[in-house]
Amino acid sequence: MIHNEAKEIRARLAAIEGVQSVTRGWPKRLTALPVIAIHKSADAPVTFRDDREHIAELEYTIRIFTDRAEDADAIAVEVDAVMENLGYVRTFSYDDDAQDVRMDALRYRKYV
Amino acid sequence: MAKKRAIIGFKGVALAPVLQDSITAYETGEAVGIQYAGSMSRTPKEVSQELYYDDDLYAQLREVSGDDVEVRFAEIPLDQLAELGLGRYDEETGTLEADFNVTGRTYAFRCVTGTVDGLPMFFNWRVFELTGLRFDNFATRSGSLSVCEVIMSGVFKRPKLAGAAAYAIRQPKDDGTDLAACNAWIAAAETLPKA
Repeated sequence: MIHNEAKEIRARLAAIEGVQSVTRGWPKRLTALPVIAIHKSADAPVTFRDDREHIAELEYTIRIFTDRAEDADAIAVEVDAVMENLGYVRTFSYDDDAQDVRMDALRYRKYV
Repeated sequence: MAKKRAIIGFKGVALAPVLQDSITAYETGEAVGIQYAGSMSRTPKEVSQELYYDDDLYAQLREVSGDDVEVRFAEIPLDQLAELGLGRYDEETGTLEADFNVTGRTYAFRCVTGTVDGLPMFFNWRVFELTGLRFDNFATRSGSLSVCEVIMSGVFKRPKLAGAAAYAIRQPKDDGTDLAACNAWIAAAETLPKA
């Protein structure tokens, strides 16, 4: 069974104050920052019962693009709260600087 | 080429209440399924004795009277736990008043196993004395998944009826044409001796 919670995650993240847009996958065009991009990173069964999938591991990677590190840090806190509220646990976090943009990446796992 | 029947799965657990288990008859009701079967382990209940004569092993006697059984499920609904004898379930409040013991419940234990070639095998242990139902240990959430399973324990025994086998195994024909009959067999009430 394929799981998909991107729609719900996208709607919740779009409500974060100051966020200009939330995309499923990489942004397709240059757009005003801050932008949040959502990727599904894992969706695979981890337990089986009655010879069928029972519980699956679902992971999403959330990337936050901003002009300034301080903005990314603040949005990351909001993203973390949203994802925790949806039942996810943070498993990974790092930040990176590209030429003109700051990116924070957060990964979340949930068992469904 | 013959089908490969090595067992590689475990599913379709169903319990049929034993209505009569006497020296004259054996009878069950229809089986009721329990979802989310995880695993079943069995340990022979055996007595062995070594007899020595002339300073040598004369004979080794071994008698297996049944199997101690532990079956693990991902979950069992509270109302079904009550039906299995763990306590009383109040549907209105959704509360199970439970005990540590389950006593006096005997079922036929049926299950299905997958095989390498995909054709299932059907098992029917005729007397399963249910002795325990409990939740496994709890653990806080962490990076890895840990399921608190429901553990069903009991004993597989022989029926009292002379000549009635302790268990029966049925396999479908290689072309699978009798699968429906096998499925019906695993769910049906059983009476011995057969009419």
